[in-house]
Amino acid sequence: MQKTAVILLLATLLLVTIGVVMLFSTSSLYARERYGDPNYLLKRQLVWLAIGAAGCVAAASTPYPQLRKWCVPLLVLTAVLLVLVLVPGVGRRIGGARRWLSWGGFQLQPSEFAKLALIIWLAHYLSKEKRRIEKFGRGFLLPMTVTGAFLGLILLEPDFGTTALLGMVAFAMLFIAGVRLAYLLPTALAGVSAFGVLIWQDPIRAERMLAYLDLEKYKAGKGYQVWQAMLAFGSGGVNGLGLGNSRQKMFWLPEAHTDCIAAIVGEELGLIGMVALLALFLTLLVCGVIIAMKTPDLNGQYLALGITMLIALQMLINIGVVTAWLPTKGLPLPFISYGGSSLMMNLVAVGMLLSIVRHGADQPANETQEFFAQQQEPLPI
Amino acid sequence: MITGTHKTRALIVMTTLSLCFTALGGRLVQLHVLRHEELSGQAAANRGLVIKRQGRRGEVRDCNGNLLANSQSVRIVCADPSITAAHAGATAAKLSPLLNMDAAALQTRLNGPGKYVRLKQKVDEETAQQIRALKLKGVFFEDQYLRTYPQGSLASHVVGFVDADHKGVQGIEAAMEQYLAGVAGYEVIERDRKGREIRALRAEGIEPRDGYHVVLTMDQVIQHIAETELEKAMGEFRPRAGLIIVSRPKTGEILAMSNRPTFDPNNAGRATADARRNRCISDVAEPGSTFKIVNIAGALNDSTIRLSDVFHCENGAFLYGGRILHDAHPYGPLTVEQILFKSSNIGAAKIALKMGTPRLYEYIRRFGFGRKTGIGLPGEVSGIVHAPNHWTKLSITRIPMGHEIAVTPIQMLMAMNAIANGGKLMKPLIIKRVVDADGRAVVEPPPQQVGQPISPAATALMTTALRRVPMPDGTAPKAAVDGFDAAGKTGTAQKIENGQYVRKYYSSFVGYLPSPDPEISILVSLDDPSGGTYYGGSVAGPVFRRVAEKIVEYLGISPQQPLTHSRQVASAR
Repeated sequence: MQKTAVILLLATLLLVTIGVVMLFSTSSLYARERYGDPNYLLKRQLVWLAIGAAGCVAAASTPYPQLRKWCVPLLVLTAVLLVLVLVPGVGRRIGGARRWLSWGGFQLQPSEFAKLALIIWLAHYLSKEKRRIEKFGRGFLLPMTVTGAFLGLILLEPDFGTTALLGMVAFAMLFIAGVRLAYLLPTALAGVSAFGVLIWQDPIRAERMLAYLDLEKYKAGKGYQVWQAMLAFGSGGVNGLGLGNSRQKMFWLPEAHTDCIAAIVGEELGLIGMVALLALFLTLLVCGVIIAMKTPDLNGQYLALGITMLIALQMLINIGVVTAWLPTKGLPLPFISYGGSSLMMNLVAVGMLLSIVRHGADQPANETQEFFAQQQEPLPI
Repeated sequence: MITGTHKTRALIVMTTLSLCFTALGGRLVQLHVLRHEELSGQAAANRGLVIKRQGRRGEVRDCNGNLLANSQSVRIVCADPSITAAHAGATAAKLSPLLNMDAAALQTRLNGPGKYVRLKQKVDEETAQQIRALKLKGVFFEDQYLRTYPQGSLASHVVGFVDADHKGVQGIEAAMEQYLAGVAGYEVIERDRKGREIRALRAEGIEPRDGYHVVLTMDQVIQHIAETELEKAMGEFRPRAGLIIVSRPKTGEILAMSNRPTFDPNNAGRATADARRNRCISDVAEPGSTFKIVNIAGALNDSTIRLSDVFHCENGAFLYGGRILHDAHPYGPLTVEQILFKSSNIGAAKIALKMGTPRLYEYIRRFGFGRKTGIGLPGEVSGIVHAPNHWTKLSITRIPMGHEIAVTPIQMLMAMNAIANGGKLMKPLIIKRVVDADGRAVVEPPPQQVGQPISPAATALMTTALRRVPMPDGTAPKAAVDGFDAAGKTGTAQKIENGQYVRKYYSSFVGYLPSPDPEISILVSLDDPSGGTYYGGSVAGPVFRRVAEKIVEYLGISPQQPLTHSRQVASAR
C-alpha cells in the first residue's frame, strides 16, 4: 500500500513538474505579447500550484470517510455555484460561455469543483445503497436525477466537454456499482442522442463537428487550431525539436498554453516525451486501481475508481482532441494545461487517493456492517 | 476487496481505459512518425517565406563616365494574405492613402488566397518608410530598381530600354543583358504567425550580385552635337527620317549615333516601333554615289586604273545593255579623280566595266558589305548583296553608283573608315569596357581589324580624290570644314517604292577629317528631304560641316590651316 502511494505521489510530482516547465515554454511568448511579462501566466499557475499542494496535503490528511458527512452540503454548494455562474453579471463570459466566477483577480471554474463533488457524492451514495442498487428508484432513478441535474447545469454554461467527461465517469461509476444495465443502457443512449441533437442544433458546434469530420477542408477555419496542433505533433518527430524550440507556439497554434498544450509537448519533446507523458498517466491509473482493489471499504473503492477515471478520461479526451481523433472539446490536460481550478482540483483528487491509502484499512469491510450503520444513524439522502 | 459483478464490471471499465491508452499511443506514433514528413513540411511551409532580392542592374555610361542609364532603388509593397486577411479592412484603409490606391481594391487583394501578393511596385523609399512605421502585420517589402535614363532621348537608340521585368529590350540594354542584369539572390526566413521574422531561424540565403556597368565608346558631348545638328537638319529639310554616326576611323569606335525620329527610353512604351528603330544598323537602302568609293578604290588597288586615267563620260547619256545611264550633269572626258569628286555615274560604270564583275564583287565583299559589321547591338542586318550569278547585264554599271545593292549606314561608314585608315577595315566598337561594382574591368574589347580591302597606297590615292569633294568644283562645297582638309563622298540615292524608282531620295554624306590622318569620320543621311534640294552635297554636306566643326573644336583638334575670320570669331566665343 505504502509503495503504491509513493509511486502515485512521484508520478503526480513528475506530471506537475512537466506541466510547469511546459507551461513556461509555451506561454512565455504569448504572455510577453499579451501582458508584457513572459512569466505572467507562469506566476499565476505557481500560485495555484501552491494552493493545490496545500489542498492535496489537506485532502491526504483528512480521513476520507469524513467526506460522507460533507458530501451533501458540498453537492448543494457546487450546485449553487453552477447556478450562479449562469447568472448574467456574476458569471464571466469568455468566448460565448459562462464558465468562470471572477473573484479578487482569480477566476474559479465551478464545473471543476462539480466534478469532484459529484464523484464524492456518488461514491458515498452508491456504497450506502449497495443493497438496493438493483432497485429502480434507489438504485437508479435517484443517483441518475442528481447526476442529470449537474450535467444539465454544466451543459447550460455551455461546457460540452466537461458534461461529456462527467457523464462518462458517472455512468462508469453506476455501472461498476451494479446498477442494472436495463436501466443504464437506455439512459446512456438517450443521453448521447440528446447530446448529439444539441450539437447539431448549435451552428457553431455543428460546424466544429464538420471540421472534425473533414479537417483538411476546414483547416483554415473552424479546424485551424486542431490542424496546427497536428502540425506540431508531426513536426516533433520521434525526438522532438528540443525543449523551448517549438515553432508552432509562435502564435501558429493559438492559445497553446491551455487546452492544446499537449501539442507543444509533442513538438518539443517528440514521441518520446508524449509516450512518457502517457506512461505517467497510466501509472496514475494503475495506482488508482490498485488502491481501489486493496481498499476494503466500498466507499473508498468507488471514490478511488471515480477519481482515477476522471483524471485518466480527461487526459484521454484532451489528447484525443488535440490529435484530431475526437471532436473539439474544451478540456484542459490534467496537471499540464494552464488553469488554476483544474490544477488545484486534480491535486486535491490525488490527495484524496492518498487519504484512501491511509485510512481505507480503518473502515469496516463488512457491507452488512455498513448496512446496519446506515440504519442506526441515518445519513442524509 | 472488490468481489463479484462489481469486480467484473470494474475490470471491464479499466480494460477499456487501458485500450484507449494503447490506441492513443498508436495515434501519436501515426502523427509523430508516420506523418512526420508531411506535417512538419506543412508547418515549415506555413512559416517559411522566400524573399527574392534583386541585384542592382548595372549602369550605362559614356566614355567620360556620364550616366546614360541608371538604376534607382525603389520598393515593392507586398503582403501575405494568409496573415492580412484577418484585418484586411483596417490594413487597406491605412495603406490606401499612402499607396494612392483604392481601399476596396486593396482589401480584395489583402483577402486573397496564397501567401504572396504584390500591392504596388515602384514605391519610393520615403513612402516605404511611412508604411513600415505603421507596423502592419503581413505587409513587407521587396527591393526593386527603377531604370532611369537621365539624358532622356540622347543616344536612346544605342542605350535602348528595359521592359517591365527590368529586362533589356533594345540597344545596349538588350545586348549587354547578361552583364547588366546581375544575379538575383534570395533569403529564406521563418516567421511567426503575425508575420514577424524569427531572427534566430534565419537559414540559407544567397546575396544578390549587382550587375556590371557598361562603359560605351560614345561621347555624350559628341552625341549631343550630332543630335542637335540632326534636329536642326530635320527642321530645315523636313526629311522623313535622318541619322548621323560619328566614329573614330583608326579604332572603329562609335562616338555618336543619332536617329530621327527618336524616343525617350524613360517612356519607351509610348513610342512607336518606327521611332524606336536604330536606323543606323537596322535599315538598308541603296547607298547611291557614296558607294562609288568601293569600285574606284578597288580598281586603284588592282592598278587597273590610275587617278590620272581619263574616261569619256558620254555627255551625260551612256547607252549600255540597251538602257541609257544618265549623269546628273553632262560631262565629257574626266580623269578618275574627277569622276570621283564630280560623282559621274557613267565614269564609275566604265571603271567597273574595266575591272570586271569578279573584282567588283570581290571588293564589295572585302569592304564588308553583305554581312553584319558585328557592332554588337541587336537588330543589325547584313544588307543585300547579290552574288554575281544573279547579276543582270546592267548590274555592273548600276552597282558602282549604289544601285541594285542595299547597305546599312554603319556598313557604309566602316567602308569609308577603311579608306581613311590605310585600308584597315575595323569592326565597329561601341563597348569601351565592362566594369564590376568595384570598377575593375571585366571585359575590355580591343579595337579589331577585320580586313584589309585595299593597300595604304590605294587609300592615299582615294584620299587625294575625296579631299576634292568638299571643294568648290566638287559635289559638296558646302561640306568644306573651315581650317581642315576633309575628305568625303556625297550620295543621292533614289528611293524605290513598290519596285519603282520614285522621285524621293536618300541624301547622304560620309567623310572624315583631318585628312590624311583623320581623327573622326561622320556619316549623315537624310531620308526624303523635302523643299527643292535633295542632293547629298547640298543637304547632308552642310550638316556634315557643322557637326565636324563642333567636334574638332570640342576634341581640340588643331586646324590644318588658319581659320577664316568668321570661324575665328565663332571659335573665340
